[in-house]
Amino acid sequence: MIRTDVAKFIIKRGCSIVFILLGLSVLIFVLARVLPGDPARMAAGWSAPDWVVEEMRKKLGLDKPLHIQYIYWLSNVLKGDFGFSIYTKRSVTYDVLQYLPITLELLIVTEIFSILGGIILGVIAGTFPYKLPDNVVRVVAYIAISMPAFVWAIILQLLFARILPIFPAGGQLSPGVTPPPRITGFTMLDSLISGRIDVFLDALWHTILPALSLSFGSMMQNARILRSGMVDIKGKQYMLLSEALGLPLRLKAFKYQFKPAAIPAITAMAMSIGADMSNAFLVEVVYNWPGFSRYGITAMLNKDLNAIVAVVLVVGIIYAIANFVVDLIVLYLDPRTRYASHTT
Amino acid sequence: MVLKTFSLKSDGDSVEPLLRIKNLSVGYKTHEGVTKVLDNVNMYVYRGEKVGLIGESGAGKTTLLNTILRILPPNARVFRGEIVFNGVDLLRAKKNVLDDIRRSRIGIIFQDPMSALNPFFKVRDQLYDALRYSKFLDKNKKVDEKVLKETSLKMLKEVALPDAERVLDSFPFQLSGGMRQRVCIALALTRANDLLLADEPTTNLDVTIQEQILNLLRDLVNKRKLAVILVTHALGMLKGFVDRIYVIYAGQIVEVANTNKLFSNPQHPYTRFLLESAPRLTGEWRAKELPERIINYINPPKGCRFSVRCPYATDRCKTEKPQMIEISSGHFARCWLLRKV
Amino acid sequence: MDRPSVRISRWDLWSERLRKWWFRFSRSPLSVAGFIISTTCVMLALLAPLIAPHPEHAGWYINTDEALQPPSLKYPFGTDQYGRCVFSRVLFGMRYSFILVGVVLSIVVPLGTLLGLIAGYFKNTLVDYIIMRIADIFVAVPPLVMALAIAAVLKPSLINSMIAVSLTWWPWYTRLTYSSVSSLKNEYYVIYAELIGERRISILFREILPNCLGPILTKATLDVGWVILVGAALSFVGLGAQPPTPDLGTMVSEGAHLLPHYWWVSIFPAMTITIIILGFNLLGDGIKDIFVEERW
Repeated sequence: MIRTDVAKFIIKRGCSIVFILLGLSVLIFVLARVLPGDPARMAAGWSAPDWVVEEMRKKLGLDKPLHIQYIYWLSNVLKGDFGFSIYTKRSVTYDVLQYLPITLELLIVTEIFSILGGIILGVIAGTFPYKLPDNVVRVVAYIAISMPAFVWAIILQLLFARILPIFPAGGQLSPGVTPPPRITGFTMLDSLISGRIDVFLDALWHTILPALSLSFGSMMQNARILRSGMVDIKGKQYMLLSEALGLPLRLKAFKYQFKPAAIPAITAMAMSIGADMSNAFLVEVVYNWPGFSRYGITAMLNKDLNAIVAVVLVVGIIYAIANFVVDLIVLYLDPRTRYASHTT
Repeated sequence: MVLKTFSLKSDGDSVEPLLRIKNLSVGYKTHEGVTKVLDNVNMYVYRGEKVGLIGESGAGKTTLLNTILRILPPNARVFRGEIVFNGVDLLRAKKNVLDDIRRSRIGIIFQDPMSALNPFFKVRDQLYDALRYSKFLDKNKKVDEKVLKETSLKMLKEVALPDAERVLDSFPFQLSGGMRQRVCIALALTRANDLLLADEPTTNLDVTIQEQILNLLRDLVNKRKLAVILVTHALGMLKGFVDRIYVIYAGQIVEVANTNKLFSNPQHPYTRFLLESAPRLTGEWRAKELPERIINYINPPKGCRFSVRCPYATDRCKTEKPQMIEISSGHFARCWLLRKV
Repeated sequence: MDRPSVRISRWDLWSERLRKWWFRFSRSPLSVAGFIISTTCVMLALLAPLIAPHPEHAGWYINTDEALQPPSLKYPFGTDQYGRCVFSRVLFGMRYSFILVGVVLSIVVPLGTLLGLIAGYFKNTLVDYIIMRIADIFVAVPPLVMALAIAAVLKPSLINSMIAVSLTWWPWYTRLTYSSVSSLKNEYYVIYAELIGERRISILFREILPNCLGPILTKATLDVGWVILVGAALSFVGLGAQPPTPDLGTMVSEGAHLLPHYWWVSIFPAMTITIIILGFNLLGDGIKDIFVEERW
């Protein structure tokens, strides 16, 4: 049974998310309609004669007042219709559903690397502050964080795909490999479900380099935050007591030092998911990854307004959900909030 | 400077003390320089003897206790000295020897029960882990959960915790200050088979609870015949508890005597000031005014560190460190103004 | 007992403070390294027109004879496909990057902080609600995505990327200041100031603001690196400064298809971005250490 204050938190947060996403939609809608100049002309083509542009304007509903446009647009979105993409000439919703799972696959693999790597490195560094493992981790972390994800992408591609042809230089599947039948939209999952292990392995092999490029920065950031949390905890009185009790190192570090430090680290991981999502826009371009982010970039370069708005909204939804889940986890893990109602 | 090892045993045989601190000097490296907090501290504690350490805030009492168990922060520096416990120099002992002593010989109670327990784990976890690595249970043998539970409950009952089962199952923030301190005492007792270090154990508690905890400590210590170093800044606590008292000022031991002798015949100006400041039943306020001065540990005075505040300070006091003078048997004080009796 | 009277001058106070700050800062060699790297980069950017061996290459220039030369004494970073000196272009690219950062931060930091001060001080009123909800909306999407989206609906140029990044960045300072002010508002010295009848503006700027400065200064320093990153990302995908402007991100993307054979065209700008970010990250961490009492 969910406790009342947890339920209240969920409801309050849910309302907040809806409100914010609505606000976001207004913002991005206004930006997309007001700033670019003349969307009708862009849709019709630069050299189209004026009357074609006027026709296009009527067709896209751009002759109506802004708030009416917004209401139309919003009601469509709530039905799941994001409008028409002037670039792909398809429904934007269709495009999103097509490409989103591909990016999500990449993001999941990235997060696995980022979180696991971050925890391992962070704990090692935090257990021996200012000694050799910590110093090595900190220096490596600085460099990894300072190098933008797209630079990582280019370098990794250069080293491991072109100079040493270990990994493929791009794409999700090798040419000539037929994609699996579409069940969920997740290539790797679909290939597993339909028994095509070879496709699964091929897709996995293609995922490694982009995922590594994306994850290095956030992996090191997670490691740093965990490490500094552990060092903070180490100075606390109760850790002095663990030392005075003569508890062995593994108990002190992995149990008593890690748990208090893990909680701010988990909060930081939500931010790293956001960073990875944004960096995906660049990394997918470098690796020609047929995902949602690359679709977004194409839309942005071509002023495909409906697609741009859709992309921003989808990113906003995913980010809000990720933050919400992380906050719930933290609420659960921290005994002070979890047991708050049971104080003597 | 040698402190004569004076035995308390009347048969004249000189028995080796359980704990012997020799010429200990400890400081910290800070952004303003290196502080020299403890200056040539000498102290000894016999088996089963209860010793009090009194001084004001910042005098180095906690530093002293933490140095014994070697739980100092990384910016601490032990300049010189020896801490010999049961024949082992704790300052130079190897980690496994030190851990052995921490697990089964010396226990410590911290001042603030609020921060002493890890808020993320239940009392049960912390107590069980402490027991697993103590002398109570052989850590090589597979430890049974039932045995751990029984032992924990027994310990909690010994520190007069009602409803021990519920306490075990609680998180520290669910317990009151007094209860938490009792848990800390229980934890310390799993280790303290020889020596108990108590760093102002009642200072942060409600006044009504203070006496309860103190009485509890006294009973437990007497029952187990433990040696104790009780640190406090309130004199009254020591009377009726400890056998001998060390008075520390600014990292220097200024006087040491049996409890009765110290209260009846204080010699060092600081000790006298301490005793006179305590309000009496007669309602008189006999305290002399002492100007307040914050001690500068980075550049301490070359001589007696109390000379900065002492109303009787002479130039010699400020430049030369006075030696310990024997006032009477077992009673020593360090001041140029005293003459040998 | 004689009490010596001590008069402490403002100069003493500040020099003591600066000394303490420098001590805390210089405790870490990494921070000092960061300081050196960042100041060197800024210097190079400032002096670009003077140092660059071929300043005219930072614009329209074609000389196909000298195209794609590897690094040499004449062209320290080699030349690109148009025969332009990569080193000179990198120097000018740094210039544009720092101009971007300078403009963005000088708008965003004061504005964002001011909004946060107001919202935090008038907590739980309509003003707070409006400001923070708007900030929340801008923050609903990760900053890079927001900047990309805003830049996407504008015409790609350096100025427009400044606008895009500024619009994206201001809420972070508002939030930061808001949380500092909310907690400081209940400090005793603020309550006393209110009781005395000190004017609100005075309280805001003289009591509260100086105590918020630590996190703000730290964040601003770290942000130099991040804003440059976002700017480079924008131009990398083509939404920022357009060719022939020597923007670092544009240079990386232009040279990307020349890899691996003509690696210098892409790698040198990429490394420059990395080094600038590294320098300011190290510097920012050092500044953070000044304001944090680190016990261990």
